[in-house]
Parts: sequence; C-alpha cells; structure tokens
Amino acid sequence: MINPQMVEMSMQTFDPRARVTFYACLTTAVLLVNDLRVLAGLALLGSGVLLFARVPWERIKRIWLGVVIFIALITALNLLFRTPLEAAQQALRAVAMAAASLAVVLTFDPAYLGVTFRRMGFPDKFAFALDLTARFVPTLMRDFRITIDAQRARGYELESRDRSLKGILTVGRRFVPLIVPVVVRAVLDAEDRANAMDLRAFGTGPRTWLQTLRLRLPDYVLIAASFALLAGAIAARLVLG
Amino acid sequence: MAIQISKLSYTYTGRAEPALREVSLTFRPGEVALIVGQSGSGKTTLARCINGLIPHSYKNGTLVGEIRCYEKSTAGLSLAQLARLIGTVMQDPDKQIVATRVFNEIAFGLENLGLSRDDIRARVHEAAEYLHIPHLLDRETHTLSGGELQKVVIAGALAMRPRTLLLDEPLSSLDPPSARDALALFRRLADADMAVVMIEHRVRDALRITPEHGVALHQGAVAFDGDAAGLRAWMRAQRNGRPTPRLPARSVAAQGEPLISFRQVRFAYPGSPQEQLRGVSFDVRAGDVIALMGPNGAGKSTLCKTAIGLLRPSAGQVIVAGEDAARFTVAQIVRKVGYVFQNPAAMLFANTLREELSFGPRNVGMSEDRIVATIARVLETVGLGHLSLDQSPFGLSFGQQKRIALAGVLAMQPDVLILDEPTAGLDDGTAEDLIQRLLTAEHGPQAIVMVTHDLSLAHRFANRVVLVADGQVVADGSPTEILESADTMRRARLDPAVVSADDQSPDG
Repeated sequence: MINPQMVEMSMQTFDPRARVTFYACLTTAVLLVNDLRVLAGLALLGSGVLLFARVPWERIKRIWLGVVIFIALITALNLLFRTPLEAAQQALRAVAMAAASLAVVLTFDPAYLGVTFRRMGFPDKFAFALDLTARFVPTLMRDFRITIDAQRARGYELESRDRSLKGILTVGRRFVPLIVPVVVRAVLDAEDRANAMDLRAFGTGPRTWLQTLRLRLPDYVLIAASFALLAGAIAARLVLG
Repeated sequence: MAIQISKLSYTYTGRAEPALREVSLTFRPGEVALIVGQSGSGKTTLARCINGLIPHSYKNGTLVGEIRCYEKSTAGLSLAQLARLIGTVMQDPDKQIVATRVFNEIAFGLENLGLSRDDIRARVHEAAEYLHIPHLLDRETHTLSGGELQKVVIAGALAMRPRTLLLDEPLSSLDPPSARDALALFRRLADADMAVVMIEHRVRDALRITPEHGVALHQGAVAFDGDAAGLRAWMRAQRNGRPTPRLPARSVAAQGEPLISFRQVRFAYPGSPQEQLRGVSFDVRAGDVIALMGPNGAGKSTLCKTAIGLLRPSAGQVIVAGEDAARFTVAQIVRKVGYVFQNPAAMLFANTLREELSFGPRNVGMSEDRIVATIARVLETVGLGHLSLDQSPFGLSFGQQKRIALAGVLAMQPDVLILDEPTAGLDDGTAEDLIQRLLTAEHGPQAIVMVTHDLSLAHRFANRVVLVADGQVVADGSPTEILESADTMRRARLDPAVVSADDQSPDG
C-alpha cells in the first residue's frame, strides 16, 4: 500500500469527509451524464484533481498503464459491438473515475478511514470494518505471496519461458487454484482477529474514536461545490439527455 | 485469588469428547503460572474459558462448572467487564493487530471502553513507556518485526489495566533474545502483583523465570498441579516411558560431493537499501543435519529460498546437485531440494489428504501407482498413518497440519529437506518425535537443513550448526563447538546463557 505520508499532498489539506463527499458526487455525476462535452469536462476535472494531489508520477505510472490498457480494451469492444459515441462515453467515464480515484485513495491516510465514515453517520462496526480492510490489504498481499511460494515449492509450475500471449494466459490460469488457500487462511485468520477484538471489548458499547476531525471553511466550500457539481450533472442529464 | 476454576468441563458443539474434564485450578496475584500439555490437551480451550470467549463468542458448546475472577463469577460478567480484569495475548501477535498504526493499536481497547481521549492518550504512553516502545508509537503495524509486534500486543492488553495477564504461547514466534525479553517482562509484571497465566510449549525457556505455579493438562484433565520443580519432575517421569532421543549415526559424518553449495551468495530485496545476504558460502552434503540459526532478520529464510530458486541471488551461485540453480525453474529444483514452510496454512489447500499429498508428486511427474505407495509411506513417517486419506486437512490440529505439510514435501522424495522452524507451535514431545522419525525414515532425505531458534533441537539432532547474522555466516561447526562458545554466540547476537545442560538432556 502506498504510504500517504510519503506523497507530497495538497489534497490532504482538506478534511477527509470533504474529499469523500467530492469523490462520491463526481462519481455519481460521471455515471449520470451522457453528453460528451460534459463528460469531457468531468474527465478534465478528475485529471485536474489528480494533478492537484501532486502524487509523484513514479508512483502512478504503472497504475496508469493498466488504466490505459483497460480504456483501450473497453473502447475497442464498444467500437466492435456498439457505437463510436458509446465508446467515447465509456472512455471519458473511465478517465474521470480513474483519475479521481487515484487522487482520493493515494492521499487518504488509512488511520483516518474509520473515523471519517463514523463522522459521516455510519455505525461504529461499519466504520471499523473499513479500518480493518485497510489493515488487511498489505496482509492479504503478503499471504498471497507466501502461498504462491509454498505451492511453487511443491513443484507447481508458475514460470513460463513462453513470452507470447498464450504463455502469459497459461501462467495466469495457473494462479487460480492458489486463491483457495489464501481465502481459507483469510477466513481462519478472521476468526482469530474477531476473538482478539472481542477480548478488547469491541462492540460492547459506544466507543471513543481517538482521531478528531474538524471541518474548516475550505472544506465547506469543497462540499458545497461537490453538491453543485452533482446538481449540475442532474440538470445536464435532464436537459441534454 | 485472581482466578478460581471449579470442576470446569467443556464440550465443543458437534464433538463427542469433552475438551476439558472437571478442571479445578487456582491462580494467585503475584505469581507466574505455567500451563503445559501436548497439542489437543485442552490448553487453548481453558484459556478461552478464562477470558470469556467461551461462552460469549463460542456460544454453542456445553459448559459445566464455574470460574471466579477476583471473587466474581465470570458467568455474570460481560466481555467488556472481563477485558478490564483479564488481558489476553494470543499465540500469533500478527493475528491480533487490528489498527494500521501502533498508537491506534494500543488505544483500541480503551476506545472500545469509551474512555476520554485524554485518558486514552495518557494510558497509551504509559503502556508504551512500561514496555520501552515509545519509539514505535508512530510506526505502521505491518512494518514491525515479530518481537516488536508481541510487545505492541502486550501493551494493548496492559493499557486496559487488567489484574491478570493470560498468555497463549507467547514465545512461539520469537527468537531467543526476544523470548528472553518477553519472559523478563512477564516476571516483572508478576512481581508487581499481577497474576500471569502462561500457556507455553517452550517449557525449558519458560521454566527459566521460575514460575511459582506449574500445571500440566492431559486429554482435557489436570494431570499435574503444583510448583515448577514438581512440574519439571512430573515431565521427567512422563518421559521415562519414551525412547530417549539420540543423535542418529547417519548424521554424524557428512560425506560425498555437495548436494547444495552456496558460493558467495548475495541478495537484496527490491527497494531495500541493504543486502539481506552478503557473500554466504557453505556446502550441504549427504548425512548433514544442519541447524541454520541466527536472530530474526539475519537472512536465514532468505538463504533457504535461494536454494530452491524462489529468490535468485544478485551475485554468487547456488549449485544444486552439481548444476547452477539459476538455469532451472523452481519446479525443477524442488525435485532435488524440498522446502517446508513454517506455517502449514500456506501449503495446504486440497479437500482431502489424498489430494493434498498427491499434489507435489504429481507436479514432479511421479506415476500414479508410485504416488499411492509413497503417500502411504510418508504418512507413516510423520506419525499420521492412522488418518483416513479421505478426510480434510483443514479439520486437523495445527500440529497435525504441520506434519501433513511436511509429508507433502517428503512425498516428492527430495535429496535435501529444508525445514523452516519445524518445532514452532509443537510441544516438545511431538517435535522430538517428528524429527526422530524423519531422521530414521527408510527413504528419507540424504540431508536436512533446519532453520530454527530451538537451541535444544540443534544440540540433540544436528551434526552442524551454521550461525548467520546480518546476512553473513559467522560460524560453522559442531553444535557443542558453536552453541557453547559465548564469543561466537554473541557475534550472532544470541545469548549463550540460554544454553544449559537442560538443553542437552532429554528430560526437559
């Protein structure tokens, strides 16, 4: 997981609730509108937000490569089976959402994930489940690496000298059985973790969230702008179709 | 009394046999109580009854008897109330961590109790000071070592200011220096009038802090209840019926061409500022039983992974059966070198033991007829010949799973077997029996390399000890020569004081 502390951030100057609200409104707007001009504007807005977040290019270039491949793929499929208009719409949606997602996710301190959603009115258990998810991502990735190594140590062939698409697909297919031990392990670990939480009185009453959040003027401005954006998108959908 | 248990029995739902049978015990403030017993003897069930997971989280079993905690019956206490009285630290600290930052991890229980933020911050700092870990408070939890994680988990429990600390195998993932620190801490807590109840497989280590109270469980019942000296005598008496572990003749003198040769092996993980291996050289020959030892992070597991190609050296060579391992895939190398991971959960995945044990041999191209004969033999070798091949590996105990994982690798019939912490999580008797069986197996490997922190294991079974520290071999010689040399052990940042005559005797 990318450590947000290591990323030079201007997005982080906003309260996390303001950022989540902006992201939710932008995503909904992108899904609502069909007009190419509006979608192009939203794609520009998403890209602008990513620039504003100042995430170093080195950190996102691989992700962007994946995004570009994904966009190329869905554009090609839309051109083949649907219309050029739909292909353009989907491509612009993908750009807007990918850029905004990167900007928000990479500037979000995982330690604030739970308290953000709690302060937005979600229940304690739901909010803490999000905290746990953030904690689980690196653990799950580590477990998957160990499981892959353990099965390779039992002679399971995951290497291929065939660099063609067929060779890559063969290797990809061979990863599928490895998902079973990872999932089993995650389920067994989850029971231990649930016990550990019970033993520290989780869920027995109202809890204190150690981190505090405070909305300031720029946050209110961002929240207002987000809702204005959403309202504009609804209007565009009604007027432009 | 801190905890008083009266005629406690518990049967898990769906099981015919009770996990605990009429257990009566008393634990007092200011004492360390050591609870021992073989895998499946009921130790963890007893811990769950004491801390309230039974019946609060395991609701469907049958519980009979009573536990009183500081004169209050636990039946009438909620988990939150019990958590204030009894702090629990479970076997694997990694599975108890719930927060991304150390500060938040220690604060977790206090947040759940609804304390004020100021109180929480004060108590977190207090617990961190007590455990000498204020420098860790801003760290992310997934970056901590095993020893650091252990301290953070204990700090999280102590921050709730319990009067009893319940520890379920707290030493299992610690290297000797970290285990020594942890034991000293438990002694300090008991001396400060806390009741410390410790379930532990590493009995010899635990006895070094002179527990006031010793308990042995056997098949769910109390087999011994007395002082530590009595426990030691009881364990010695139990061993009299068993064959004495001895150094097998085949491991005394290694011979022939090297089966594996590490030649100036260097390795650094991508992005790591320093090398994990810095010019490691040594040979493994037929007849060798090598204990590969060193502190956590010394490079032991990294080195073993280069032997089977999971990691490729950045410089130097690993020669397997006379050929450069760089020319082969992992699947090709493991026909010669088997590697058993520390945690069996990483290896097991099939629905039945038959499928599980056939997986490796099938991958290396063994015929179906030969596979059938081989898996029957390896099951006998690991002492599980009585199990049905149609049963699931996931229903087995941790110790049995560990042996199945070993059997799965043995079934591939490698020349060299590498075992990563083979005794971790196993009681002394089971661990010794397993190694003994392995060394005397008819079609066993020609050489064994054990990555271990267990000095007793090295003393009893190895013909060579290779000490690794900071990515380099700092000593290579006989167990006596290496483990009893204070100077050599200090160079590897290990404590020679923890090696005693006890470690060389079979009595424990």
